[in-house]
Amino acid sequence: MTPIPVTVLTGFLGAGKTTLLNRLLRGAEGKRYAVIVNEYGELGIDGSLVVGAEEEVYELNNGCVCCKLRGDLIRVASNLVKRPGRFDGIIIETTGLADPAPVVQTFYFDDLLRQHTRIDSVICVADARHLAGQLRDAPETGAQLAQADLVLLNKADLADEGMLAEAGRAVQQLNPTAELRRSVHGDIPLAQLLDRGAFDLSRMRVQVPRLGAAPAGTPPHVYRPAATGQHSKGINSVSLSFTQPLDRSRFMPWLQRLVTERGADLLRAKGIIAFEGEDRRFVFQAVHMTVDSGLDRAWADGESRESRLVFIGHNLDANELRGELAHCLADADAVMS
Amino acid sequence: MNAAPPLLNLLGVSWELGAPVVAAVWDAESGAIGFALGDGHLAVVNAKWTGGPRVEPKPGGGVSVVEAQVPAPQPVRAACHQGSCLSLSADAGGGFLTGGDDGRVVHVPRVGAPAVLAHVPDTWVNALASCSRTGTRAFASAKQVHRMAEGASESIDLPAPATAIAFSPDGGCLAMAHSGGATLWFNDGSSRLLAWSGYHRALVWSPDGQYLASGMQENALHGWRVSDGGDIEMGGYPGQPLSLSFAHDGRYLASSGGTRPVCWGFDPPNGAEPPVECGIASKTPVTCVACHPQQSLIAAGYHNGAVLLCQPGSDEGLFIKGSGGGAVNALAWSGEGSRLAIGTQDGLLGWVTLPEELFRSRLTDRSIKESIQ
Repeated sequence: MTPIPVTVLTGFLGAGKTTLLNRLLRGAEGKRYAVIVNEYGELGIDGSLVVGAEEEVYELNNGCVCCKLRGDLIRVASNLVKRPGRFDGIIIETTGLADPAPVVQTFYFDDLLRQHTRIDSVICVADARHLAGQLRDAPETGAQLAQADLVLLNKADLADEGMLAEAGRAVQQLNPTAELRRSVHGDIPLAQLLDRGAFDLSRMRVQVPRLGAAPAGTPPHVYRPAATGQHSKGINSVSLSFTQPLDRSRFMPWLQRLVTERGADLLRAKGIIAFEGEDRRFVFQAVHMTVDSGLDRAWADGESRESRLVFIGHNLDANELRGELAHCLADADAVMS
Repeated sequence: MNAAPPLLNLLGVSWELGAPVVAAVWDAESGAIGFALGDGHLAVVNAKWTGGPRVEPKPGGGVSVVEAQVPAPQPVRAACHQGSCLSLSADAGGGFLTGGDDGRVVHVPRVGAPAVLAHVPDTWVNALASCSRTGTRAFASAKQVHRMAEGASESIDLPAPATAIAFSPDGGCLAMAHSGGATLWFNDGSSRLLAWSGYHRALVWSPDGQYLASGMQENALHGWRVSDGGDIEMGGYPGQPLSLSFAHDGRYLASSGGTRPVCWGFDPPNGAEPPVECGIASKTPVTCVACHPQQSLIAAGYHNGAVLLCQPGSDEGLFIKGSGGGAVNALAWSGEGSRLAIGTQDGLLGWVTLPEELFRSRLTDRSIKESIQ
């Protein structure tokens, strides 16, 4: 049975989440969605089911403070998969202050939910006029943006070009992997919101912005440092690319150590890696300590075998990450000597 | 070798009702099985099947199957909840209790229409229980648990919503699992927290009431010695062990969560000793376990729909049901252990007779299948 896709809708109060949700359900056209909203009660909207749940965030007792899950979502989603007739999708609306990471982790940690559902995407709805300011002032905005694979700059009609450009830049710097779209009253085609496959390793895209030149004194053609976001409180992103292949036996322990030791700081990470002697792409993505990884399709003929990695988190040091990864290059010894 | 079909086909009956089975229990006296369904109905099956299939001893050893002479009694559906059934218990006074996501607790009597016993609007009744000793009924909704006895009702507030509740075997207290541990609620109204960090989602008492064990989200079991709150840690599962069952004599605790049933010694419990696995090694996880009420046998249901009967410490097993029909969500033995009820995620429900003649020799799939042929 195909797993039910789960879409997480985040965004600040007043950004237009509920308007988007209503549009979404009205445009569902015969499809049946279950919507989990953050209040008790249950009602139907146009054939879909709306279930309320009170946010219950639990820390897992596994020695890791970043491994959190939502007890309410386990209960509600476990029940949804036991209803007859399948839902075409589950949409979870979070509160404006919620960290989406425990929502995503819940669907990775729970056996039943992993068997019957799959996280499809995290969509962040932002008020185009206020986003840049909110990023400076409120840490939870950064966490929501960091998890998102689609950011909707909503109320675009009320913002001027300057605001839109500033908001766009802020998103790009904090989360270069997110797709950015402008919308008015959440008016955006359903197909662009659902079934995005953002957590599907085989569909993963990692865009590394090409900004600025490599710092002086570093070997050229080895890596290309990209922008480090400075817009949000303590949250930044580090994008790296390497044209030389990496050594699997060095990279894997490094990645494991990174998520184990820095998991609490690491909000999101994605990468497509070219390993020495491996014809297929290795892809990974992580939310805190939760890592999903595997070998993907073969590198295509003529495709540049470039490893691309993006890390988003608290106080990430670009130079440190770059240096550690340089040690994982297949010919690291030659480069370093 | 595998010429004989699984026992469910030979000695049982099953139906497809189109809604996932959430839970199954027996009403001991009437011999009826209640299957709580994801569509809000309770399917009640009368498991007294006069003229049903049986086994006969063969001259020279072994047994042969005598086919059913009459069709089995059909399931009767009772509409209980607007959404789906979330919880199910046999009622001490006869019939069944169901809890649903409409906030209702419903009693389905042996005869007559279902009746709403309690309604807490805008909550879900995640768990309920009925005490066979005292007749007290209890149910969990949101962060409260309610206890109803002889027309009076009382409630207790918990630090987090209860995920599972169970009366102690002597009826002296109600145990409630939640995030952060389990709370004991005694009949005099006092309560005691057995704290253990983590998310506890399943609960079972040892038959003598000395131990309480919980199944945790953290791929582990946790046990408490009730007398002094002593902790017993049982970990190392690849998945969540959310189905727990004590052996009839309390000597071991069987659990799901692995690719074979996992049994921990409780005679006495010894956390240092590794658990014993049993049954056939598989690639698919065990989703449900149920210990036989009189013998050292475990019925294990798998994610692929198979049901196996096995013994602790043995690598062999007897297929009661082949794969298919979705994950096994429910297994329940009749009180004397001669019949087993089965319910799956894809809506298959049924029951099978397991006559004592089958267990006279050592339990192996081959020996039983050969003896049947």
